[in-house]
Amino acid sequence: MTSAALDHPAHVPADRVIDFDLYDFPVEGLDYQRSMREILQSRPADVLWTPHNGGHWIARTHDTVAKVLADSDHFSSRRIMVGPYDDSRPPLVPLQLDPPHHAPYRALLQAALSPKAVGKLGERARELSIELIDGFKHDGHCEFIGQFAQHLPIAIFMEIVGLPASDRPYLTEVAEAAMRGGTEAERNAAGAKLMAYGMAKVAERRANPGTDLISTIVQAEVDGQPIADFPLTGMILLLLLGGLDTVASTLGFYAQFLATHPEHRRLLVEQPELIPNANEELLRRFAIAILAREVKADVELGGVTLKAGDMIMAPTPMDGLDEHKFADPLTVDFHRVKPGANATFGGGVHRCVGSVLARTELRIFLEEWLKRIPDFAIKPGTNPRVSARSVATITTLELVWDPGSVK
Amino acid sequence: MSEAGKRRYLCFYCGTVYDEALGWPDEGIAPGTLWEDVPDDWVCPECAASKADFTLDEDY
Repeated sequence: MTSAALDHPAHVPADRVIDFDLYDFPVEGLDYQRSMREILQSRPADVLWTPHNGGHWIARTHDTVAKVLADSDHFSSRRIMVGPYDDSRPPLVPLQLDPPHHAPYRALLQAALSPKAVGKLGERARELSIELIDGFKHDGHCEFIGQFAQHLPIAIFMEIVGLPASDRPYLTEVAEAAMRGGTEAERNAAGAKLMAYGMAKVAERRANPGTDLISTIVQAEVDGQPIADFPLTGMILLLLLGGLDTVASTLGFYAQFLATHPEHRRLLVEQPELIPNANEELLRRFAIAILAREVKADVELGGVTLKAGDMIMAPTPMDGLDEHKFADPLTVDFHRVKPGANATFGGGVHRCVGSVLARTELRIFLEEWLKRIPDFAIKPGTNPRVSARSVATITTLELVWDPGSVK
Repeated sequence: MSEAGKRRYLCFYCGTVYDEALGWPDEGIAPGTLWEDVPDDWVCPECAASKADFTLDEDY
Protein backbone atom coordinates (compact mmCIF):
# COMPACT_ATOMS: atom_id res chain seq x y z
CA MET A 1 0.00 0.00 0.00
CA THR A 2 1.32 3.46 -0.79
CA SER A 3 0.77 6.48 1.40
CA ALA A 4 -1.31 8.08 -1.36
CA ALA A 5 -3.83 5.27 -0.94
CA LEU A 6 -4.20 5.77 2.81
CA ASP A 7 -7.11 7.91 4.00
CA HIS A 8 -6.23 10.71 6.37
CA PRO A 9 -7.94 13.75 7.93
CA ALA A 10 -7.64 17.14 6.25
CA HIS A 11 -5.17 18.52 8.79
CA VAL A 12 -2.71 15.68 8.16
CA PRO A 13 -0.29 16.43 5.30
CA ALA A 14 -0.16 13.53 2.83
CA ASP A 15 3.62 13.28 3.12
CA ARG A 16 3.29 12.42 6.84
CA VAL A 17 1.14 9.36 6.28
CA ILE A 18 2.71 5.96 6.85
CA ASP A 19 1.25 2.46 6.72
CA PHE A 20 2.15 1.35 10.24
CA ASP A 21 0.11 -0.79 12.61
CA LEU A 22 1.88 -0.85 15.96
CA TYR A 23 0.00 -4.00 16.92
CA ASP A 24 0.90 -5.85 13.75
CA PHE A 25 4.13 -4.96 12.00
CA PRO A 26 6.80 -7.38 10.72
CA VAL A 27 9.49 -8.11 13.33
CA GLU A 28 12.75 -9.54 12.05
CA GLY A 29 13.94 -12.27 14.41
CA LEU A 30 13.64 -11.04 18.00
CA ASP A 31 14.68 -7.47 17.26
CA TYR A 32 11.38 -5.72 17.79
CA GLN A 33 13.07 -2.39 18.41
CA ARG A 34 15.23 -2.42 15.26
CA SER A 35 12.27 -3.50 13.14
CA MET A 36 10.11 -0.64 14.43
CA ARG A 37 12.92 1.84 13.86
CA GLU A 38 13.50 0.70 10.28
CA ILE A 39 9.85 1.19 9.38
CA LEU A 40 9.48 4.56 11.11
CA GLN A 41 12.77 5.86 9.76
CA SER A 42 11.70 5.10 6.21
CA ARG A 43 10.17 8.61 6.27
CA PRO A 44 12.23 11.72 6.95
CA ALA A 45 9.64 13.57 9.08
CA ASP A 46 9.86 13.69 12.89
CA VAL A 47 6.13 13.20 13.34
CA LEU A 48 4.15 10.77 11.18
CA TRP A 49 0.50 9.74 10.96
CA THR A 50 -1.00 6.30 10.43
CA PRO A 51 -4.62 5.44 9.65
CA HIS A 52 -4.43 2.22 11.68
CA ASN A 53 -6.02 1.81 15.12
CA GLY A 54 -8.38 4.72 14.75
CA GLY A 55 -5.76 6.96 13.09
CA HIS A 56 -3.02 8.53 15.16
CA TRP A 57 0.21 10.49 15.06
CA ILE A 58 3.57 8.88 15.77
CA ALA A 59 6.46 10.72 17.46
CA ARG A 60 9.51 9.22 15.82
CA THR A 61 12.53 10.95 17.38
CA HIS A 62 14.06 11.52 20.80
CA ASP A 63 13.02 15.15 20.70
CA THR A 64 9.37 14.57 19.82
CA VAL A 65 8.94 11.57 22.16
CA ALA A 66 10.40 13.65 25.01
CA LYS A 67 8.12 16.61 24.27
CA VAL A 68 4.99 14.46 24.16
CA LEU A 69 5.83 12.85 27.50
CA ALA A 70 6.92 16.08 29.21
CA ASP A 71 4.23 18.50 28.05
CA SER A 72 1.16 17.53 30.03
CA ASP A 73 -0.47 20.88 29.19
CA HIS A 74 -0.91 19.72 25.60
CA PHE A 75 -0.70 15.94 25.89
CA SER A 76 -3.08 14.22 28.28
CA SER A 77 -2.60 10.69 29.57
CA ARG A 78 -6.36 10.25 29.94
CA ARG A 79 -6.02 7.83 27.03
CA ILE A 80 -2.76 5.87 27.04
CA MET A 81 -3.40 3.48 24.18
CA VAL A 82 -4.42 4.10 20.61
CA GLY A 83 -7.49 2.30 19.30
CA PRO A 84 -10.92 1.92 20.92
CA TYR A 85 -11.36 3.59 24.31
CA ASP A 86 -13.82 2.41 26.95
CA ASP A 87 -14.36 5.18 29.49
CA SER A 88 -16.61 3.01 31.65
CA ARG A 89 -13.53 1.17 32.88
CA PRO A 90 -11.65 2.59 35.85
CA PRO A 91 -8.67 4.69 34.77
CA LEU A 92 -5.26 3.32 35.67
CA VAL A 93 -4.39 5.59 38.60
CA PRO A 94 -2.23 7.68 38.68
CA LEU A 95 -1.13 7.00 35.08
CA GLN A 96 -4.37 8.17 33.48
CA LEU A 97 -4.73 11.27 35.66
CA ASP A 98 -3.24 14.56 34.51
CA PRO A 99 -1.41 16.91 36.87
CA PRO A 100 -2.11 17.93 39.55
CA HIS A 101 -4.63 15.13 40.23
CA HIS A 102 -2.06 12.38 39.75
CA ALA A 103 0.32 13.68 42.45
CA PRO A 104 -1.12 12.35 45.74
CA TYR A 105 -1.61 8.88 44.26
CA ARG A 106 1.88 8.85 42.80
CA ALA A 107 3.33 9.91 46.15
CA LEU A 108 1.85 6.79 47.74
CA LEU A 109 3.56 4.52 45.23
CA GLN A 110 6.80 6.49 45.28
CA ALA A 111 7.17 6.00 49.02
CA ALA A 112 6.87 2.24 48.65
CA LEU A 113 9.30 2.12 45.71
CA SER A 114 11.89 4.64 46.93
CA PRO A 115 15.59 3.81 46.68
CA LYS A 116 15.63 3.19 50.44
CA ALA A 117 12.70 0.77 50.27
CA VAL A 118 14.13 -0.93 47.20
CA GLY A 119 17.52 -1.42 48.88
CA LYS A 120 16.00 -4.05 51.15
CA LEU A 121 14.05 -5.65 48.32
CA GLY A 122 17.23 -5.87 46.24
CA GLU A 123 18.83 -8.24 48.71
CA ARG A 124 15.75 -10.43 48.58
CA ALA A 125 15.87 -10.32 44.77
CA ARG A 126 19.48 -11.46 44.89
CA GLU A 127 18.69 -14.41 47.17
CA LEU A 128 15.83 -15.45 44.94
CA SER A 129 17.90 -15.10 41.75
CA ILE A 130 20.61 -17.35 43.16
CA GLU A 131 18.03 -19.86 44.33
CA LEU A 132 16.36 -19.98 40.91
CA ILE A 133 19.60 -20.25 38.92
CA ASP A 134 21.07 -22.87 41.25
CA GLY A 135 17.85 -24.82 40.80
CA PHE A 136 18.40 -25.41 37.08
CA LYS A 137 22.04 -24.61 36.26
CA HIS A 138 23.17 -28.26 36.35
CA ASP A 139 20.39 -29.23 33.92
CA GLY A 140 22.16 -27.48 31.06
CA HIS A 141 18.94 -25.90 29.86
CA CYS A 142 15.91 -23.88 30.93
CA GLU A 143 12.90 -22.15 29.49
CA PHE A 144 14.08 -18.72 30.55
CA ILE A 145 10.78 -16.86 30.50
CA GLY A 146 8.83 -19.31 32.65
CA GLN A 147 11.67 -20.46 34.90
CA PHE A 148 13.32 -17.11 35.56
CA ALA A 149 11.95 -13.97 33.86
CA GLN A 150 8.39 -14.43 35.05
CA HIS A 151 9.56 -15.68 38.42
CA LEU A 152 12.06 -13.23 39.90
CA PRO A 153 10.36 -9.82 39.44
CA ILE A 154 6.91 -11.19 40.02
CA ALA A 155 7.88 -12.92 43.27
CA ILE A 156 9.41 -9.66 44.54
CA PHE A 157 6.34 -7.71 43.47
CA MET A 158 4.10 -10.24 45.24
CA GLU A 159 6.06 -9.58 48.43
CA ILE A 160 5.63 -5.81 48.07
CA VAL A 161 1.88 -6.08 47.73
CA GLY A 162 1.60 -8.98 50.17
CA LEU A 163 0.13 -11.54 47.78
CA PRO A 164 0.66 -15.29 48.24
CA ALA A 165 3.37 -16.85 46.06
CA SER A 166 0.88 -19.58 45.15
CA ASP A 167 -1.12 -17.02 43.13
CA ARG A 168 1.85 -16.22 40.87
CA PRO A 169 1.05 -18.65 38.01
CA TYR A 170 -2.58 -17.50 37.85
CA LEU A 171 -1.67 -13.81 37.91
CA THR A 172 1.11 -14.21 35.33
CA GLU A 173 -1.27 -15.92 32.93
CA VAL A 174 -4.06 -13.39 33.41
CA ALA A 175 -1.67 -10.41 33.11
CA GLU A 176 -0.34 -11.85 29.83
CA ALA A 177 -3.90 -12.15 28.49
CA ALA A 178 -4.73 -8.61 29.67
CA MET A 179 -1.68 -7.14 27.96
CA ARG A 180 -1.44 -9.21 24.80
CA GLY A 181 -4.59 -11.32 24.42
CA GLY A 182 -5.53 -12.00 20.81
CA THR A 183 -8.81 -10.04 20.85
CA GLU A 184 -10.12 -6.99 22.63
CA ALA A 185 -12.77 -9.15 24.32
CA GLU A 186 -10.05 -11.48 25.60
CA ARG A 187 -7.98 -8.58 26.94
CA ASN A 188 -10.99 -6.97 28.59
CA ALA A 189 -12.05 -10.24 30.20
CA ALA A 190 -8.54 -10.71 31.60
CA GLY A 191 -8.47 -7.10 32.83
CA ALA A 192 -11.78 -7.71 34.60
CA LYS A 193 -10.31 -10.82 36.26
CA LEU A 194 -7.33 -8.82 37.50
CA MET A 195 -9.59 -6.10 38.85
CA ALA A 196 -11.79 -8.67 40.60
CA TYR A 197 -8.72 -10.33 42.11
CA GLY A 198 -7.32 -6.97 43.22
CA MET A 199 -10.55 -5.78 44.77
CA ALA A 200 -10.95 -9.05 46.68
CA LYS A 201 -7.52 -8.34 48.18
CA VAL A 202 -8.58 -4.77 48.91
CA ALA A 203 -11.56 -6.08 50.88
CA GLU A 204 -9.27 -8.44 52.80
CA ARG A 205 -6.80 -5.66 53.67
CA ARG A 206 -9.55 -3.27 54.71
CA ALA A 207 -10.74 -5.88 57.18
CA ASN A 208 -7.28 -6.94 58.26
CA PRO A 209 -4.57 -4.45 57.24
CA GLY A 210 -0.93 -5.42 57.11
CA THR A 211 2.26 -3.60 56.18
CA ASP A 212 2.10 -4.30 52.43
CA LEU A 213 1.47 -1.75 49.69
CA ILE A 214 -2.18 -2.70 49.12
CA SER A 215 -2.84 -2.16 52.85
CA THR A 216 -1.08 1.22 52.66
CA ILE A 217 -3.23 2.27 49.70
CA VAL A 218 -6.55 1.18 51.20
CA GLN A 219 -5.79 3.09 54.39
CA ALA A 220 -4.52 6.21 52.60
CA GLU A 221 -6.42 9.46 52.24
CA VAL A 222 -6.38 11.78 49.23
CA ASP A 223 -7.77 15.29 49.79
CA GLY A 224 -8.83 14.20 53.28
CA GLN A 225 -10.93 11.29 52.02
CA PRO A 226 -10.26 7.57 51.67
CA ILE A 227 -9.67 6.58 48.05
CA ALA A 228 -13.02 5.65 46.45
CA ASP A 229 -13.47 2.18 44.99
CA PHE A 230 -13.47 3.35 41.33
CA PRO A 231 -10.00 4.98 41.35
CA LEU A 232 -8.79 2.37 43.81
CA THR A 233 -9.66 -0.40 41.35
CA GLY A 234 -7.65 1.35 38.64
CA MET A 235 -4.74 1.87 40.99
CA ILE A 236 -4.60 -1.80 41.94
CA LEU A 237 -4.93 -2.83 38.28
CA LEU A 238 -2.03 -0.57 37.31
CA LEU A 239 0.10 -2.04 40.10
CA LEU A 240 -0.67 -5.58 38.94
CA LEU A 241 0.02 -4.86 35.27
CA GLY A 242 3.19 -2.88 35.98
CA GLY A 243 4.50 -5.32 38.54
CA LEU A 244 3.66 -8.50 36.69
CA ASP A 245 4.73 -7.75 33.16
CA THR A 246 7.37 -5.16 32.42
CA VAL A 247 10.54 -6.41 34.11
CA ALA A 248 9.74 -9.96 33.04
CA SER A 249 9.45 -8.76 29.43
CA THR A 250 12.70 -6.79 29.61
CA LEU A 251 14.58 -9.77 31.04
CA GLY A 252 13.60 -11.77 27.95
CA PHE A 253 15.23 -9.20 25.65
CA TYR A 254 18.36 -9.09 27.85
CA ALA A 255 18.70 -12.88 27.78
CA GLN A 256 18.18 -13.22 24.02
CA PHE A 257 20.84 -10.56 23.41
CA LEU A 258 23.41 -12.14 25.70
CA ALA A 259 22.64 -15.63 24.37
CA THR A 260 23.53 -14.47 20.87
CA HIS A 261 26.48 -12.16 21.70
CA PRO A 262 29.30 -14.17 23.34
CA GLU A 263 31.75 -11.26 23.21
CA HIS A 264 29.38 -9.11 25.29
CA ARG A 265 28.87 -11.93 27.78
CA ARG A 266 32.59 -12.42 28.11
CA LEU A 267 33.17 -8.74 28.74
CA LEU A 268 30.76 -8.73 31.66
CA VAL A 269 32.12 -11.98 33.07
CA GLU A 270 35.67 -10.62 32.95
CA GLN A 271 34.78 -7.07 34.01
CA PRO A 272 31.71 -7.23 36.26
CA GLU A 273 32.31 -3.60 37.22
CA LEU A 274 30.83 -2.78 33.79
CA ILE A 275 27.48 -4.29 34.73
CA PRO A 276 25.77 -1.10 36.04
CA ASN A 277 26.50 0.73 32.78
CA ALA A 278 25.71 -2.38 30.74
CA ASN A 279 22.34 -2.48 32.45
CA GLU A 280 21.59 1.08 31.34
CA GLU A 281 22.83 0.32 27.83
CA LEU A 282 20.60 -2.74 27.50
CA LEU A 283 17.65 -0.74 28.82
CA ARG A 284 18.34 1.89 26.16
CA ARG A 285 18.68 -0.63 23.36
CA PHE A 286 15.71 -2.81 24.30
CA ALA A 287 12.90 -0.49 25.36
CA ILE A 288 9.60 -2.36 25.32
CA ALA A 289 6.81 0.16 25.90
CA ILE A 290 4.68 2.06 23.42
CA LEU A 291 3.09 5.00 25.20
CA ALA A 292 0.32 7.19 23.84
CA ARG A 293 -1.26 10.52 24.73
CA GLU A 294 -4.37 12.45 23.72
CA VAL A 295 -3.83 15.95 22.34
CA LYS A 296 -5.59 18.36 24.73
CA ALA A 297 -5.22 21.54 22.72
CA ASP A 298 -3.98 22.27 19.20
CA VAL A 299 -0.19 22.19 19.21
CA GLU A 300 2.71 22.31 16.76
CA LEU A 301 5.05 19.36 16.87
CA GLY A 302 7.67 18.30 14.37
CA GLY A 303 6.43 20.80 11.77
CA VAL A 304 2.74 19.80 11.81
CA THR A 305 -0.32 20.93 13.75
CA LEU A 306 -1.88 18.33 15.98
CA LYS A 307 -5.56 18.97 16.73
CA ALA A 308 -7.26 18.63 20.10
CA GLY A 309 -8.66 15.10 20.37
CA ASP A 310 -6.00 13.54 18.13
CA MET A 311 -4.03 10.63 19.55
CA ILE A 312 -0.25 10.45 19.38
CA MET A 313 1.93 7.44 20.00
CA ALA A 314 5.27 7.90 21.78
CA PRO A 315 7.28 4.71 21.22
CA THR A 316 10.00 4.57 23.89
CA PRO A 317 12.39 2.59 21.63
CA MET A 318 12.57 5.56 19.27
CA ASP A 319 14.20 7.68 21.98
CA GLY A 320 17.03 5.29 22.79
CA LEU A 321 17.54 4.44 19.11
CA ASP A 322 17.74 8.04 17.86
CA GLU A 323 21.17 8.52 16.29
CA HIS A 324 21.04 12.25 17.08
CA LYS A 325 21.04 11.39 20.78
CA PHE A 326 23.05 8.16 20.84
CA ALA A 327 25.74 7.57 18.22
CA ASP A 328 25.49 4.22 16.42
CA PRO A 329 22.37 3.46 18.44
CA LEU A 330 21.75 -0.11 17.30
CA THR A 331 25.15 -1.20 18.59
CA VAL A 332 25.27 -2.35 22.20
CA ASP A 333 28.33 -0.72 23.77
CA PHE A 334 28.83 -1.39 27.46
CA HIS A 335 31.31 1.52 27.60
CA ARG A 336 28.80 4.05 26.19
CA VAL A 337 28.74 7.33 28.12
CA LYS A 338 25.46 8.03 29.94
CA PRO A 339 23.24 5.48 28.21
CA GLY A 340 20.75 5.82 31.07
CA ALA A 341 19.42 9.18 29.91
CA ASN A 342 16.72 7.56 27.80
CA ALA A 343 12.92 7.29 27.78
CA THR A 344 12.74 3.56 28.40
CA PHE A 345 10.93 4.30 31.67
CA GLY A 346 8.83 7.02 30.05
CA GLY A 347 9.18 10.65 30.97
CA GLY A 348 7.51 13.65 32.52
CA VAL A 349 5.21 13.36 35.51
CA HIS A 350 4.26 9.77 34.73
CA ARG A 351 7.76 8.38 34.46
CA CYS A 352 7.77 4.77 35.75
CA VAL A 353 7.55 4.89 39.52
CA GLY A 354 9.00 1.38 39.76
CA SER A 355 12.17 2.15 37.82
CA VAL A 356 14.51 1.89 40.82
CA LEU A 357 13.26 -1.61 41.55
CA ALA A 358 13.29 -2.58 37.88
CA ARG A 359 16.89 -1.43 37.44
CA THR A 360 17.91 -3.27 40.60
CA GLU A 361 16.33 -6.55 39.51
CA LEU A 362 17.81 -6.36 36.02
CA ARG A 363 21.28 -5.61 37.38
CA ILE A 364 21.05 -8.50 39.83
CA PHE A 365 20.08 -10.81 36.98
CA LEU A 366 23.23 -9.82 35.07
CA GLU A 367 25.44 -10.20 38.13
CA GLU A 368 24.16 -13.52 39.41
CA TRP A 369 23.39 -15.24 36.10
CA LEU A 370 26.76 -14.54 34.47
CA LYS A 371 28.64 -15.64 37.60
CA ARG A 372 26.98 -19.03 37.39
CA ILE A 373 26.17 -19.57 33.70
CA PRO A 374 28.77 -17.57 31.78
CA ASP A 375 28.08 -19.24 28.43
CA PHE A 376 24.68 -20.03 27.00
CA ALA A 377 22.82 -20.00 23.71
CA ILE A 378 19.32 -20.18 22.30
CA LYS A 379 18.40 -23.85 21.88
CA PRO A 380 18.92 -24.81 18.22
CA GLY A 381 15.73 -25.61 16.39
CA THR A 382 13.54 -23.47 18.62
CA ASN A 383 11.81 -20.47 17.19
CA PRO A 384 11.29 -17.83 19.89
CA ARG A 385 9.10 -14.94 18.85
CA VAL A 386 8.06 -11.51 20.01
CA SER A 387 4.50 -10.79 21.02
CA ALA A 388 3.61 -7.12 21.30
CA ARG A 389 0.82 -4.72 21.93
CA SER A 390 1.61 -1.70 24.08
CA VAL A 391 4.38 -3.72 25.74
CA ALA A 392 6.58 -6.14 23.80
CA THR A 393 7.65 -9.46 25.22
CA ILE A 394 9.35 -12.70 24.18
CA THR A 395 6.88 -15.45 24.90
CA THR A 396 9.22 -18.42 25.32
CA LEU A 397 13.02 -18.62 25.23
CA GLU A 398 14.70 -22.02 25.45
CA LEU A 399 18.33 -21.63 26.54
CA VAL A 400 21.04 -24.28 26.60
CA TRP A 401 24.55 -24.47 28.05
CA ASP A 402 27.21 -26.99 28.94
CA PRO A 403 26.46 -28.18 32.49
CA GLY A 404 30.20 -28.62 32.94
CA SER A 405 30.78 -24.89 32.47
CA VAL A 406 28.54 -23.71 35.29
CA LYS A 407 29.93 -22.29 38.50
CA MET B 1 16.68 26.30 55.06
CA SER B 2 19.38 26.30 52.41
CA GLU B 3 20.29 29.64 50.91
CA ALA B 4 19.29 30.31 47.29
CA GLY B 5 22.27 29.87 45.02
CA LYS B 6 23.85 27.31 47.35
CA ARG B 7 21.18 24.64 47.28
CA ARG B 8 21.50 21.08 46.04
CA TYR B 9 18.73 18.96 44.59
CA LEU B 10 18.78 15.17 44.43
CA CYS B 11 17.27 12.93 41.78
CA PHE B 12 14.79 10.64 43.49
CA TYR B 13 15.65 7.77 41.19
CA CYS B 14 19.42 7.75 40.85
CA GLY B 15 20.73 10.22 43.40
CA THR B 16 22.28 12.56 40.84
CA VAL B 17 22.93 15.95 42.41
CA TYR B 18 22.08 19.31 40.85
CA ASP B 19 24.23 21.89 42.63
CA GLU B 20 23.12 25.47 41.98
CA ALA B 21 26.68 26.75 42.39
CA LEU B 22 27.91 24.41 39.65
CA GLY B 23 24.91 24.47 37.32
CA TRP B 24 25.20 21.94 34.52
CA PRO B 25 27.35 23.55 31.81
CA ASP B 26 27.32 20.42 29.59
CA GLU B 27 23.57 20.90 29.31
CA GLY B 28 23.71 24.65 28.83
CA ILE B 29 22.89 25.51 32.45
CA ALA B 30 25.40 28.06 33.72
CA PRO B 31 27.01 27.92 37.18
CA GLY B 32 24.86 29.84 39.65
CA THR B 33 21.55 28.99 37.96
CA LEU B 34 18.85 28.76 40.61
CA TRP B 35 16.76 25.61 40.66
CA GLU B 36 13.63 27.59 39.80
CA ASP B 37 15.38 28.90 36.68
CA VAL B 38 16.34 25.44 35.44
CA PRO B 39 13.93 24.74 32.53
CA ASP B 40 10.93 22.60 33.45
CA ASP B 41 11.71 20.17 30.66
CA TRP B 42 15.28 19.57 31.89
CA VAL B 43 15.78 15.92 32.78
CA CYS B 44 18.32 14.10 34.91
CA PRO B 45 21.42 13.64 32.76
CA GLU B 46 22.03 10.21 34.28
CA CYS B 47 18.62 8.56 34.27
CA ALA B 48 16.24 10.94 32.45
CA ALA B 49 14.00 11.49 35.47
CA SER B 50 12.06 14.75 35.23
CA LYS B 51 12.88 17.96 37.09
CA ALA B 52 9.85 17.26 39.30
CA ASP B 53 11.59 14.09 40.51
CA PHE B 54 14.36 16.12 42.17
CA THR B 55 14.00 17.15 45.80
CA LEU B 56 15.91 19.67 47.89
CA ASP B 57 18.80 18.16 49.85
CA GLU B 58 17.84 19.42 53.30
CA ASP B 59 21.04 18.08 54.84
CA TYR B 60 23.34 20.16 52.67
